[in-house]
Amino acid sequence: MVFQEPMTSLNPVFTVGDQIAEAAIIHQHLSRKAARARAIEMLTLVGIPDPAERVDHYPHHLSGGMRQRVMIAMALVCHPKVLIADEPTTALDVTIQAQILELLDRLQAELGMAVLLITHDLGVVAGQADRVVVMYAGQVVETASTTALFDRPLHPYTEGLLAAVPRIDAPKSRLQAIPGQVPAATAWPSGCRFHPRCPHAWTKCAIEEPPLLGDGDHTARCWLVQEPGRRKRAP
Amino acid sequence: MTAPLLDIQDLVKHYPGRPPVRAVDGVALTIAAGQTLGLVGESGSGKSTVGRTVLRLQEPTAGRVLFEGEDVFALGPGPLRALRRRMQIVFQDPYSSLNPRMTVGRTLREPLEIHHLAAPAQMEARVTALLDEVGLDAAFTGRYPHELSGGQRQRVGIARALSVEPRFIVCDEPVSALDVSVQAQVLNLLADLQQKRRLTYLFIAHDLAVVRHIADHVAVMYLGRIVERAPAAAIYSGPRHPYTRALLSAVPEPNPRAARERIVLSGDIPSPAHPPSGCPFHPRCPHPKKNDRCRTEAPALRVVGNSPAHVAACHFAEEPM
Repeated sequence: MVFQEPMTSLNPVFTVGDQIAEAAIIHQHLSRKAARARAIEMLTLVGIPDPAERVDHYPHHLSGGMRQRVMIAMALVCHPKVLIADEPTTALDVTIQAQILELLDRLQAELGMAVLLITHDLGVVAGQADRVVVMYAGQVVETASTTALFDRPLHPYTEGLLAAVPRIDAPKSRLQAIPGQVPAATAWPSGCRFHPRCPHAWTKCAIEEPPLLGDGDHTARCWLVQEPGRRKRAP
Repeated sequence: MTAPLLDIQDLVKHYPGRPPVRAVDGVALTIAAGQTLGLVGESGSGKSTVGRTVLRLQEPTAGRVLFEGEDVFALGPGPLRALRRRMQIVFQDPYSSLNPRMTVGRTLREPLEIHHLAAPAQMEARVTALLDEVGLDAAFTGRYPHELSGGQRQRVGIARALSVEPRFIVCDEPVSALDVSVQAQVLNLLADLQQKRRLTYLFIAHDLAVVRHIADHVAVMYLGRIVERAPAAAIYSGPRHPYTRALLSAVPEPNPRAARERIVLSGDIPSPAHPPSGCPFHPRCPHPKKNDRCRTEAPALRVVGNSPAHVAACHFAEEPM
C-alpha cells in the first residue's frame, strides 16, 4: 500500500533503509545484511540516485517526491501481486507527480502487478487506468472501461465531475459546477443518494434506490439507464 | 495605455539565514484594473511570498510596489491601514484562515467595525448582503467554522475579503484545498464577483488548468524569478520557456485518448538557499540546446513571441524542443 502523505506515513526516527528492510526481515526471513542489500536494490528500482548512500538517510533528508519513491519501495519489497496506491501524487507538485506516475507505469510493466489507484483527479485516471470505478456517498455509482467512461458517462454524477474539471485545452470560460455538496455520511438522502444534486431526478429517484444497472462491462447506479427518455437536455 | 492598477518593480524577499533563502529574487509584474494575473509555480517558487509581500503582510527586502500610483512600501501605519481597505487576500486553507472561535457573523462584522463601514443598526443587513453575494444563506451568521464544509468556509473567506469593498484581491491558491465539484463553484463565484464589482485579481496557483479558466495574463515562477510571462492565450498555445513547456505537458488531461508527450523533468526543485549558478533552471532543463552559457549566464526576460507582452528568460526560447 502506498499512502497519500509521504510526509507523515514514514517513521521519522528510522532510516529509510531500516523501514524498507523491516518487511523483508519479517516476511522473507532475510538476515539484516541481506535485507539491507535488498533495500538498496529496491531504492535503485524506484530510481533514487546514490542508493547505497540514501539507504542510511532519514525521511527528513528527502524531498516529497523522494519520500514517495521510498514508500513505493517499501510497498514492493515483498513482490506484491496488488499495489494499492491511495492518492499517491496528490501531495506532490505537478512535475514530481509526472515522475511518480511514470515510475508506477514502469514498475507495473516490469513486475506485472495489478494496481488499485485511488484518486480524485480525473486527469490522472485518464492517463493511468484501464478500468474506472466512480464512488459517491459511500457507494459505487459507475464502473466502466476508461475510454467508455470518458466517452459516454452514464451516471449524472460522473457527467458532472467531468464537466467540472478545469481543462488546460479550453479557453477562459465558466466551469459547470455540480450544485450543492456531498451530504453527511450520517444522513444519506433517501432513494438515490445523488438525487438532491441531480439535474434529471424525478419522484422515483427520491423513493427507490437504484441498483447498478447496465451491461456487465459498463454499469451505473441510476434509473436513467432503464429510462433514458427522462434525461433532460442540457440548458 | 493607462497606468496599471498594480505595478511590482524588482521585488526581492530574502529570509535571513546562512546563506539567506532567496524566496523572491527580482520579480516585476503589472496588473491592469479589472484583469486577472495568474501567478503559477511549484512549491518553493516564491509565488505566495510575492502575494503576501505586495500586501505588506511581510516586509520586502528590496523593490517597489505601486498600487494606484501609491508606493505601498513607503506608507506609514495610518495610510497602510487605509490601503488595506483597497487590497485584500483570500487564503489557501479555509480550515486555518478562519478563527474557530468566531461565528461567521462576527468574522464578517469585524472588518466593517474596524473600518467604520456600517452603523450598528445596518450591521446585520450588511452581513446578510455579503453572505448572499457569496451564495450563503443568512442562517450562516450564527455558525462556527467547524460547522461548515470546505467550500462554505472558502465562501466566508471571500465574503470577508469583500466586506471592505476592495479593488484588488490576492487569491492565494483559493481552490487548491477543495474537491473538483466545489472548486468549480468557487471559481465561478470569483469570476462573477469580478464582473460585478470590477475587481482585479492576483490569482496564485500551482494548477495551470485552474488558471486557464480565470486568468487574462499568466506569469510562471521558478526559484524566486519569473521565467515566462504572457497573455494567457499565448502561454497556453505557445509556451517558450522549457520549464513552462514541461509544466504544461505534465498536467494530466482528462482525456484517455489524448496523445501525451509528457516532458518529465529529472530531479527536484533546488533549495532557494542554494540556487544554481547561471539559469536557475539549468540542472533540470531538458532543452537539447542547453550548454555552458546556461550554467554561467542567467538569462534575462526578453520578448520572445509575436506579442511584445510575451517574455521569457531562456537563451534558447526560440528553438524547438
